[in-house]
Amino acid sequence: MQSASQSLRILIVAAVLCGLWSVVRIQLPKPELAETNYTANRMRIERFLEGPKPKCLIVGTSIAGRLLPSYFKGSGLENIVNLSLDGASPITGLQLTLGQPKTPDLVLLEAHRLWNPVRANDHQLLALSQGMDRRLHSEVTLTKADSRPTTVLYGWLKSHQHQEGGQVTEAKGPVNPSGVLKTVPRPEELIRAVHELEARGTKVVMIRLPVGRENPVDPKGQDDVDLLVKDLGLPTIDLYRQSLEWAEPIRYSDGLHLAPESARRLACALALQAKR
Amino acid sequence: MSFVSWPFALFLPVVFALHYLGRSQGWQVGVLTLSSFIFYGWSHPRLIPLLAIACWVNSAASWALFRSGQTDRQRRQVLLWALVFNLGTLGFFKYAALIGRLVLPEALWSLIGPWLSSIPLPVGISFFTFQGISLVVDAWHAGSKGIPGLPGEDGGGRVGRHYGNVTFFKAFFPQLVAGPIVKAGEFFHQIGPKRLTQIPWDASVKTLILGFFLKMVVADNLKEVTAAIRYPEFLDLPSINLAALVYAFSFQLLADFAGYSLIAIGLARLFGYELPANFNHPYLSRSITEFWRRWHMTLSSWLREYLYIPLGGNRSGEWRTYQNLFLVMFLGGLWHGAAWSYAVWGTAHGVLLALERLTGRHRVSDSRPWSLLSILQAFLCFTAVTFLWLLFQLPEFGQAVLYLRTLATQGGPPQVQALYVIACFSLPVVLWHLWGAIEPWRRTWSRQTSDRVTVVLHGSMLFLILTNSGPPGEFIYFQF
Repeated sequence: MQSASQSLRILIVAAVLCGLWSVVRIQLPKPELAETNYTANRMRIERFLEGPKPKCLIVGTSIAGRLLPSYFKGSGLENIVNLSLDGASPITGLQLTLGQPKTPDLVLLEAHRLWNPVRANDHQLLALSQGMDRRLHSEVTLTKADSRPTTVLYGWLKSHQHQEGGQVTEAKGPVNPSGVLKTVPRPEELIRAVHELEARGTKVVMIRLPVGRENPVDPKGQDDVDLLVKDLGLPTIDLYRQSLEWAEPIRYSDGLHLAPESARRLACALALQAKR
Repeated sequence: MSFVSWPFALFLPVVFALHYLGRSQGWQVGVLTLSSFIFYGWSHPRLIPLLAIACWVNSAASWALFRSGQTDRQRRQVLLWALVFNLGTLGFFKYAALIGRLVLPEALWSLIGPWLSSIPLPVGISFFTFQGISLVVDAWHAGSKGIPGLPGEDGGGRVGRHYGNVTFFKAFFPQLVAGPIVKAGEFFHQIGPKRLTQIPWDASVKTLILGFFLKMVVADNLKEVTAAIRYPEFLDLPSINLAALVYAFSFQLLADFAGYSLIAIGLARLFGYELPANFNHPYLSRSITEFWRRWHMTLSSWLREYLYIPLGGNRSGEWRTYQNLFLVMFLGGLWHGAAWSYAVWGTAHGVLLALERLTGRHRVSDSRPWSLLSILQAFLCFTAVTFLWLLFQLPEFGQAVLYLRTLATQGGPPQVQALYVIACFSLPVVLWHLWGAIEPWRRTWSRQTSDRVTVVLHGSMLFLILTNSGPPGEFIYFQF
């Protein structure tokens, strides 16, 4: 028999590192942000599927994804989970929600890009919530997205950056006036999902957030989002138009996504109105 | 079936157990051949007949070349038909649309063009057709005595075993889909009964860990950011990110392909076979000539042996040498895909190789010691290679040019998130190369020190495979 002593010692080293990392991991705060979209989505899906069942759930895109659960601390809306998925259609978030035996009391549905069709990225995320990988991650804590060493480090760096203000940019002029859609396609899948949620006792509220360069040219005029909201007939919290009245302007980290401080203010405003 | 998939995680132990259950060569080759066909047809069972036909034709052709009493004319005809079959299969599935567009009249193209364009590219075809060519050419040279491990009629070979062994050689699953490209002479002499006690466990495990680490941790995580090298997405990115992305793609490509090759080598070792190395820290190269001795070494070696030398190599005067060099690199580029950007990529390498030949740099030894100048040379060579990889991610030539123009002109603050990902997951490739660069110094370490460092490094990589893998995805070279 040829030697396998190195192989055994390699396994032992890996096991020791896993043990050490498990201990270190417990001492560190769980990251709220991840370095890639895929990891961020995995993290949100894992928390939604495996964490305590939330009373309130945010479903949307990467825009609403900036409303971190920690921003809601002390707002009276603590038991909130954010299932906004980067680069995905909000319909995917709704489908994941409907896949659970019990749905939350309140779903805050982000209006941005609601008409986006379900694409390959969405299928990958849905598969992620069901496949063998998912089962492995639910059984072995160390393989979860929020245990990735690079994600933990990124989360730690970002939390320090947030405390120091971080990098912000003013929103440029709209590059996507009024969403540029001439007619709003009726998202049948979305309507079905909303009706099913309501039938299961969940209240669905639309939220509209500022989206930087994709904000409408004329803030007062009617646009695609308004048409869609009207079409769905859901109660709406329009944080975009409300924020236009605020003394401190909304800031963005990349011209599109909310900067931490603005996201925090919007989260507080959202919590106040959602409680009502 | 992909090496990084759940079905493969079940497939491997079953095949391993079955393989070592029997002790005869016939059983073991049979198990490995059958399982290779299952491996190949797992996602697309309709591809199995193609592989089976390719195996049968090459078995028949090589046996015909091994038979005694054949005239030269008969043998030449067999070789010709075997080459036509192999190149024809590759040409039909890979280049039918490209050639059709070039040669067919507009009216005919509009009629059959959509059909030609819709022909799917069978995975691994570029690799197993090259192995078929290597087999028949080696058989042609060897004659009726056969090649080591694959006897011809005069060497005591039997037709049944010949077909079985050739099918095994072509289909052996670790190297079937994306190489390393194994030449007949490197493989057949290894066929024989294998015992569990002969498995080089440490070498296999270390190779597999490095391979899976490069693929699952480095390449799959970098893929998340390099997806931005896509038109029109890249138009919004600042210069610094655009530049970093080009280097990140270069690291991703190496990690993905070298990862695949290492996994293939590690798996083959588990079954008692040694496949040739495919990469030797290619970004340490201080010239393009050296780069091609370190990158995709089995393709370079194949092109040299079955194309460059038969064309006359460097034995027919300066002019013919340059001509051969260009032709080999042009065809080597086109081998990667039916797009002119690949041909441009290959030709650009050809130009750089020719320039080095002109200046005599191709004669410089790869093992010369490092100096400040050679570090600069390595960086320049790496940068040239890296920017040429852009054509792999942006096969539309105009888009690649636009990318470079945007890189040169676009300002704006850096997008730190992407830079963080690039830094984290490029670092292991840089360290892997440093590990290669300090090899002469490592040789002075005591055995104990070397052993400890190896164990800690591989243990750490295994830890990161478990905790820090990226989204699972196909290997980049599957598309070639």
